Amino acid sequence: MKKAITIILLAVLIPALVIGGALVFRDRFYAWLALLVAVLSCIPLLYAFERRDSTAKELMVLAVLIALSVIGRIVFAAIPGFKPVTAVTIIVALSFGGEAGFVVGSLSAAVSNFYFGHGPWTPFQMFAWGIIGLLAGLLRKPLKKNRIALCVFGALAGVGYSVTMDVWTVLWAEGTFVLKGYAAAIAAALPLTAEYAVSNVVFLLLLTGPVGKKLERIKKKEGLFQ
Amino acid sequence: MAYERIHPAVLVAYVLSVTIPAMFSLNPVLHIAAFSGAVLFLILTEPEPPKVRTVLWLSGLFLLVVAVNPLFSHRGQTELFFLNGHAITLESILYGVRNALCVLSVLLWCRIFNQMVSSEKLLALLGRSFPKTALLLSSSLRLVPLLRNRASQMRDTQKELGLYGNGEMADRITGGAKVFSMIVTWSLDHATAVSSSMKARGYGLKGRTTYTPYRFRKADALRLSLILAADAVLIGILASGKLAFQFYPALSMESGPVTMFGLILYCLLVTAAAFTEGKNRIQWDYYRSKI
Repeated sequence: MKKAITIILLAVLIPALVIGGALVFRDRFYAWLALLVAVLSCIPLLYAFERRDSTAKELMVLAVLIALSVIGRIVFAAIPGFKPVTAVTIIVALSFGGEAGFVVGSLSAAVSNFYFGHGPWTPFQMFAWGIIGLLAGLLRKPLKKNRIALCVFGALAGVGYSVTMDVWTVLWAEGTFVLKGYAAAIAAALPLTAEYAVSNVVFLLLLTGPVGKKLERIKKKEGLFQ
Repeated sequence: MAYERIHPAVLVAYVLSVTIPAMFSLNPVLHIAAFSGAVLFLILTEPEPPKVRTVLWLSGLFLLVVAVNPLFSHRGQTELFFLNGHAITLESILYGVRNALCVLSVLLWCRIFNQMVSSEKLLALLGRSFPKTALLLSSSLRLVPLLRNRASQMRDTQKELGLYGNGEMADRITGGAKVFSMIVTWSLDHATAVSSSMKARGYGLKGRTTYTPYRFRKADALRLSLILAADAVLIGILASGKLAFQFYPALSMESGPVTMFGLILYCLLVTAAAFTEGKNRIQWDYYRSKI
């Protein structure tokens, strides 16, 4: 019964939000749609995680990993622009799977924004980091075997994150999606994008070995995420 | 603060109903209203005047967003001057001002959201439909200061031992990675210990209830229904296009009673928080003067 209500609610609510947004915010429909996609794609994935049986141990390990990726911003504060959130998300996904990767990535964004300030960008960060974790989990077999593939994935994740956030910047400032404005935003963010990509690769090279080993150890010892 | 006695669901509904039209509508009157409402509320509730740096940063952002639009958009009929052979029009500058007002008012309302809805309130709201996510959020929010403390202990020890202390970039990065890896070891085993004690206290058992200190009172129901009614009317007016605003080729705005009504309704909604706060302040001063 509860499930049926949820399904009906989703089947009515999502089209209503999309069509309603089209009617109400005619000129800025794309901005509305982008925000909606970011929010709505997080909900079913988090909901799937809610429905699964997970032990208190798994939850506490995930909580620690989320907190770790948030304080990583503080540990590496001496090096401007180096934030290990993406790398931690990928490493977690390699050991614990895509769902854990999604949860750690998206909730790291939510938690760190309690410190750095929430805004309309929060759902976009949750979406971008969550999807990076999910993808890393799906591709974990080849990524675990091949170091070069892992580095390429890390660099692409940095570029993907930056490009996703640029979509938001353009939509928010301009209302419509102007390709020229988007190109300008990407060009303006180019140094940042490069920084993301390079720092992801550096972190993955430095941390995948030691941290991954520790995650595998605790997984085996406590029988987590089977 | 008056809003501390209001149920968090009402607060979230209120901030969303103010912010979403301000974010997505093109009508600059709505943005001016949202901006003034936010400033009024912040003046009443923030204990200190804003820092000079904050004001400078916000005005810099304002000017930047204003400037971006005329550089990319050359539509509009009132040409002011030419830059590199492209016309800079009055309409595109005004559209830039509208964009900047929109960005600033949304930023200020997010600040108000952070002030009104603390992490505890958000968790209490999430707790019912997303219990695991809420647990993860609340425990990692508690773990952040703990792990930060551990990280600085580790770093101090490393420094004292003479490792990774000096300024080279590669040195700092490897040093940071080492500290990070050490906290992982320390914290993961700590986490399993914590989860054992959670289990011993009955986490995950059937029929276990949770406590929230927020009660949904009659006054909250009244406030929520007023907000939702205002939302319904505003959505209707927005969908009918009566609040539309055109920048190109020339500025034009819908007029008439429906438009006026929509604008006044939004102004009332936007100032409701500041009004409640102000009323509370006056009452407080009045009762104190009687002592």
